[in-house]
Amino acid sequence: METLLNFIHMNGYGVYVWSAYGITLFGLLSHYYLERKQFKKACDAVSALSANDIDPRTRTIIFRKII
Amino acid sequence: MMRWTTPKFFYAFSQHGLPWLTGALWILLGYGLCGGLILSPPDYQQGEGFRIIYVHVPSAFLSLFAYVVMAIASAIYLVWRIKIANIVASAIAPIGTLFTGLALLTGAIWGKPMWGTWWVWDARLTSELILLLLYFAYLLLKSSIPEKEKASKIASMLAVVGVLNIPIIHYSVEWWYTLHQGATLSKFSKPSMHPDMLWPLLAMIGAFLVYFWIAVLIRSRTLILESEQGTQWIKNLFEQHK
Repeated sequence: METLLNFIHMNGYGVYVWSAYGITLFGLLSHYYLERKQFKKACDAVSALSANDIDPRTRTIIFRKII
Repeated sequence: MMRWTTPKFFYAFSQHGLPWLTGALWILLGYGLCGGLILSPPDYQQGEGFRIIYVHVPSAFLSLFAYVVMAIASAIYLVWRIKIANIVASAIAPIGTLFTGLALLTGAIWGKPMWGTWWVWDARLTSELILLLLYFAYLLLKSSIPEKEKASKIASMLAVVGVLNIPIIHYSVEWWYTLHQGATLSKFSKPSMHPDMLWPLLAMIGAFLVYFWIAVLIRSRTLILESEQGTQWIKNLFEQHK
């Protein structure tokens, strides 16, 4: 337990180290999420254009296959 | 050769490349994070605070690398009018902006305990801030000019001219007296870091580089789908997966 607390505290630098890692992780994850969302939106737009009869569930399957 | 430059080929190529890149990302990130946070010893001067370099240096490296690739793709588009070069340059701009923002933010977080201040107007920090403004200007030009071709041409010119800022950022710590330390890694000299610190750093740079290509491929695919919507090959692609 003490080792874990020391690891988190990082000799007083914990707040700086963890906030730097946190901001980086948040930036990269939210960027990835937004890019995937935009790709899915583009897939939906193409699906809607090429076949009006595709139901949303089939569209999701197509999206999973082509990504 | 020309086959390589078609959106259709690029789309298929990226589809096969993404799973491999994702695998490489997890391996590099796993080793880099374990090595950087747990295995590497604290620095004798900066203590545990030095661990910020494992996210700061890769972000800073990628901010420059992304801009150089964007400028090359823009130059190819301007000279040969290759559509996929313009798509790749457009795909690089958002991820380049993110890496530059992260480099500035993590640098500020590192600066506070080491220098006693979040920000100083020294050559390295200011030129990196100019890089962020160049990325913003590129994105703004692309989105604000209604004629797409004209927007691409002007934004590409900006990207090519802006590449002059890259050597200024890189050599700023040598050309001017700055608070920022010298290059952490140099290809011309033996690394001054201990291997226990160096290898995780190289792994993190590798992980960020792999993420950069993943982001570029996903964004390029989105842009291809948007621009090639009505074409036969896109229709066929969606038909065959029905």
